[in-house]
Amino acid sequence: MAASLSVAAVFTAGSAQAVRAQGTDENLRQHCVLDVASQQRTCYDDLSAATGAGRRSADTSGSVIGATVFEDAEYGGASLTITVPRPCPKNDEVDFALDLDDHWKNRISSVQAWSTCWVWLYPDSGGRAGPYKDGAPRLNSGINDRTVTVGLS
Amino acid sequence: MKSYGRAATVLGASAVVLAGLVSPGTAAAEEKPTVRQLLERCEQGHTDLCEFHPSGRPESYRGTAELVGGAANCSEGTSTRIIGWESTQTTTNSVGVTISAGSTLGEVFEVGFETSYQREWSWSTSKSDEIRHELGPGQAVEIYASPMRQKVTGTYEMHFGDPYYGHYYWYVHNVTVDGPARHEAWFTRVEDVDANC
Repeated sequence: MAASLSVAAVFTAGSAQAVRAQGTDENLRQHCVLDVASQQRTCYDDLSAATGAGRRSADTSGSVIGATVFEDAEYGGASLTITVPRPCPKNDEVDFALDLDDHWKNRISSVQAWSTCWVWLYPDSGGRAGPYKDGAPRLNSGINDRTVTVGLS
Repeated sequence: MKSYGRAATVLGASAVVLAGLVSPGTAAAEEKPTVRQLLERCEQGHTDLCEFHPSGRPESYRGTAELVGGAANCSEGTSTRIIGWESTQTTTNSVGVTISAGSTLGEVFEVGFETSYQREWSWSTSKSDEIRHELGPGQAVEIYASPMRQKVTGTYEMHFGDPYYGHYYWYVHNVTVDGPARHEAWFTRVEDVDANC
């Protein structure tokens, strides 16, 4: 069971495309896919449906999974799968940035990098953690539950 | 983490397969490869990237109890027997394709598991032990052993340099790999049975 809605403001900062994920009733569903290119967010009741749906939207919009972030350690709890228009080009830049909505701010405890992307986590206090090149089942205390922006490079 | 495949394997089914980025100028991309075809591309090294991404936490559970040994006392007196037993547990998967320690798909899975959870995957384990049991006249017992196992479900992600069935990126979802848990105690039980002396 899926439901889609648009995501708010898109802006460009340097080479990075930043998209804000909005909190809505969609958050009642635990596993969401946010497509940076189309600005669509779709939520599902389980993770496999979410990652599967990521490809379905990729099929039509031309996007690929860049990362999945999780509420709990070891990829547990709610998840947010971020799809991007293409694999990260490895150009030493953060190519995609996602400002988390209030629902997801300060909630991330584990992350998975997909495709060629590396994941960077930015806390509100400045600085950043990463890059996470594979999976990070337990974020250290400096960034656990403190991420407000996710970057992909 | 990034793998560039090799050898071959068997048939698979139950996983969901969905497409990725459409190649420019490709029209009829409705036809899809099978799970087996996709995984064989990874196995044979025909992908630019092949990775396994687990979904959620590994699930631990008590494996099925298997008959591993027994003894019967057909004498007229009580007898104390030392009953030895041995059992081996291996890794299975839900897609019917070979995912083992010696295969590329196995290596890809192992790297994905170990980098994701920061612990090693156990492909197989053997356990041997012995039980001391007193058997009365005409009495027999069977020994059952069950190990702890763990299973992980995830997705194989594949990138192709040239479009494969019209797409550069393919995903095989819901692949479950099920193997013995490491360093876990086995549960044994002894059941009385007919001696059939």
